[in-house]
Amino acid sequence: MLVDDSATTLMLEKAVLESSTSYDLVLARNGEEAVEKAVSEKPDLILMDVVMPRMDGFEACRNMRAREETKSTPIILVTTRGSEQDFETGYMSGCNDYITKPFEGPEITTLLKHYLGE
Amino acid sequence: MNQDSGYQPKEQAGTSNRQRYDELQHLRWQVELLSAQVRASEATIAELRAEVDRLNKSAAETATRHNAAERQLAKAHKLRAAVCSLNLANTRDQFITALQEILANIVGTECFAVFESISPARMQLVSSMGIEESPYGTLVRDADGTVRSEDGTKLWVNREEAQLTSADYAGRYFIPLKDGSELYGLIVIFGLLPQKNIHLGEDSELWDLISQHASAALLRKG
Repeated sequence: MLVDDSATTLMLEKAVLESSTSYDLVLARNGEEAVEKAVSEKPDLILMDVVMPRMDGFEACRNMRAREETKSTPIILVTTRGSEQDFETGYMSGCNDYITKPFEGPEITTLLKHYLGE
Repeated sequence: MNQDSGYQPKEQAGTSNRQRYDELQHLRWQVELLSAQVRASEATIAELRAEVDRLNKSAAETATRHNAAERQLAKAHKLRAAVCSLNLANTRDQFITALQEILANIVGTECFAVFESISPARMQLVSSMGIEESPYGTLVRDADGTVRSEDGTKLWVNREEAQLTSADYAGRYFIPLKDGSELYGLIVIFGLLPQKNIHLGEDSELWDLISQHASAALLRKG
């Protein structure tokens, strides 16, 4: 599942993944929608932005970790925030990994394949 | 003489020497055979080593080509996303949002300003992020192509291409929004994200593309 409030970023992530994998993609535009879709769609992995309206990525991550259905789903945060403090907040919120924008296509696919055991 | 003295009959000793000679010949023959086998094995090993070297070199070349292809593909995705995003915007607000998203998520900056030409001599700030706006509300364009902020500070000199080098401009980068020689606007990047490294070839292509498509989109939405 790809979560980002930026249509441009979703378009880019979708293009990168569709060209190099055969994953079925579910899209969400904010943290709240991400939590709802994570519970209903049960994605194998969540690639999520941090700065989003309604519910940010950190909060969404904590929310998913508190739920039985999503507590062990791999979550990778993708954000422009690259400080150590942000990394720490990300890991404290329960994410599995943290990558910064602007990202390179191969970086994303390699990480996803690692977490999906490919 | 008894046997303890070491004496042996002549015929017996001759047979023994013959046997030893034959054995010796046989051993020499075996040594020659083994030597030939060793030489053949060494030649095979040398051939295999050469083949391994060739395969390693070929694998390295394939890996290099694969990496280059992946980088090209990643760049193509970025260019496509940027162009689609700009061209899918139906309103001026959507266009500004698309431009902001491209600058933050693809170019790698959260410290920028977007200006639009309002006359041949002036440019107006239309969007910004992460800067103090007050000195940049309006920019003045001199006849020689120099662009100044309101307080008279020289900001930029109009050039043909997007500028990824910023040695003369206090760490700033510039993307002119042009159609031919006509300047419709200017994006000033006041700083890149700390994790962003400039890749001259790739980024200049992306910035040039933003320059062309953003000016076209700006014209349509204006």
